[in-house]
Amino acid sequence: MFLEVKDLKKVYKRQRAVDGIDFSLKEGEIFGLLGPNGAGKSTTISMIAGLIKPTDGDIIVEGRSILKSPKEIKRMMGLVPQEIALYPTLSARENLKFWGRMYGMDSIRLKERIDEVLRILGLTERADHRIDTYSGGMKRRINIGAALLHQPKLLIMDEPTVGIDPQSRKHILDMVLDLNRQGMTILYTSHYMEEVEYLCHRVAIMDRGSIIASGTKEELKAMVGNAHKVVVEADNFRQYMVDTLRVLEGVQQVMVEKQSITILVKDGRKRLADIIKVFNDDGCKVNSVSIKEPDLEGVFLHLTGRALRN
Amino acid sequence: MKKAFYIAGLTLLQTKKDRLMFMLMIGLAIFFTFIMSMAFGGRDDTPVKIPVAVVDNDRSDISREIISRLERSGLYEMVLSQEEIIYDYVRDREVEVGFIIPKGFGQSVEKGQYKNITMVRLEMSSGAGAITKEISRVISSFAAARTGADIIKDEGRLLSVGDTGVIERAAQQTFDTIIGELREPKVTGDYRYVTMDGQTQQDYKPLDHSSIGFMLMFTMFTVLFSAGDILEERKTYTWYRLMSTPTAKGSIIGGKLLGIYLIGCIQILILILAGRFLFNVNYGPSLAGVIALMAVFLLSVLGLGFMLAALVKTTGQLQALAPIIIVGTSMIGGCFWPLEVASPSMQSAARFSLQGWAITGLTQLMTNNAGVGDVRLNILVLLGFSAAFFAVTLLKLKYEYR
Repeated sequence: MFLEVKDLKKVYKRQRAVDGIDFSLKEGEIFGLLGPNGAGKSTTISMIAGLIKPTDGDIIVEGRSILKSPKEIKRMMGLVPQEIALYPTLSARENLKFWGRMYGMDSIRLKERIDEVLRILGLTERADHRIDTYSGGMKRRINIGAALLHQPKLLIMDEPTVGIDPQSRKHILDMVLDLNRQGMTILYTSHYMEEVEYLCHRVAIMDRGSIIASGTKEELKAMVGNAHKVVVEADNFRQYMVDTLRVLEGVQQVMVEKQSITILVKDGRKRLADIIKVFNDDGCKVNSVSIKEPDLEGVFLHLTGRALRN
Repeated sequence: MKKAFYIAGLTLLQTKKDRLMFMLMIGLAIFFTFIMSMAFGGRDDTPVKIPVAVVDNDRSDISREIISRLERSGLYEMVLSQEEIIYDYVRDREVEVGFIIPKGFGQSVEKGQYKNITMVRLEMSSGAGAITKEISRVISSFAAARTGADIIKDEGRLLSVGDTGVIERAAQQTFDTIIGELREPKVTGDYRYVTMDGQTQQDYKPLDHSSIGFMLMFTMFTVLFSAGDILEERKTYTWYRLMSTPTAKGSIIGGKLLGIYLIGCIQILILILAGRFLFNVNYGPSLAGVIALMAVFLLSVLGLGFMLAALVKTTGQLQALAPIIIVGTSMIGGCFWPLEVASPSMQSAARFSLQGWAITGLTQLMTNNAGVGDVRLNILVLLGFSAAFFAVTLLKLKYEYR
């Protein structure tokens, strides 16, 4: 295994941020950590990147413990933090130059790599502009670029697409796939289920500091069988109706978020009429209904009864 | 180690890119020194003339000489007045002080029986003393001249010189010569004051004090706010990214310290040069002394900045706290006025101020021809402060990252 996380724990005073998790990454794969905000993904990544010390457990990269050889392991890693970790008054080129220096790169190689990374990011023309003049998407790209300069074996990406436009997101996701094709191992965290589904070979779903499920996308989806996600947008929905829906045949989970009611149900297409009837009988005005094939969101709903984005 | 220099270089580059604050701190120090130079009458040493009203009821040679002497001193602007209005003049602060020469004053001086001159002044005014001294000096001159003339007359009589006109002329000539000699001082002063330990002192002017006071205060602003960059780095998460690189924590902190220290050095250098060439401040003969003192002063301010950055949680808290600490300790430490004029308790309090130790050291170097060895106590105390501040910072950081 390229990276092994063994019984990793982090306790802050009385709060267990990470509660004894285990997972491993094979060389050359994209591994996704999926979970809602506060699930413990960032804490896990901070421990893998050597930013915070685990309360217990260990992280082994290519046979070396991060606790014993942090410097060597940091040298083969690149971290893309969730926030834009750049100096806003400096240009993209100056930022990249500085971060390259921090990885001990010599001037000649650094210059070549800066030009190369700027080209990959599609920002060559804006290279000498100050970061604080960039759009959110461009900042995100440079934020990633700073972690790529030294050509790390392992790239850790902590929610790298938060708050950006769809075009920039697509650019970033395609770039991640490209990097992986070139042999880079990637640990990717997100609470966007679609991103994880699109990118990752294997996924671990985290909730409240624990891994509640892990495997390939197919393995995870198999956990909910042939269940569909039926989403009903309705006015005047009343809380007691949740119980009525739950006793319907095949219904596994019901989740209410404002006027949107999500029902995880086996053979969703067949049960749709029964579901709509419940709404009509109780005087609810149904505005729209959609049926979705099983996905990781459905897996999370199935396992926790909550939505991934809560 | 190399990485520490890159981090220091980054701090300098950031200051260069975002130089408004840095320029402001230098500009404000020069501006306030300039304002003080205006208050002290400029660097040409032309004193502001004090308006003085005088009522001459005597109109004798001696009364005219008193008025003329005060006018020629260059210190006073004489305004001839009348007895009925001189009190109003003083009360309305049109003049600083007034005096009335009574009728018969000249005759009484001739006879050696002095009459009182009435001084009119506000209760808190201090100008009357100098005028009284000047009047006494004129009277003494007259007395000396009169004595000289009398001696000539007596000698003439003793020698039985037949022509009394000759004796009178000789006596008058002697009188005029003595008065004339006393009128204009032949020697101008290049003052050297003697201190208790016997060393000579250079002339130390209020403007010199303002220049170094504002230099120290505004350098503290720059250094303390720059130290707050660490808090800013935490906010922008570059600190965490730095920690994720294979860079030793010591190099990161050392690089930050070095960068801010160099910014402080640049500011002090610019302000010293500005003081020298814009305000003609004389920093004394010991360049090594000034460098050593400023080096440890900056170190202690840097320590204070890091300690504050470690103790507070946000940049906002630091920005609120720093001016209070800087202005407060600048007042206590004597940046605004010489410590000699402060009360003993204030002088004791100055011992707890970094600026106090720096300013007394600089004053010593500027006025006493002192060297590094003479300000060793100041240097040691500032080093002690630095050690204490850094110790508290490290303890706090150790506790934080436990």
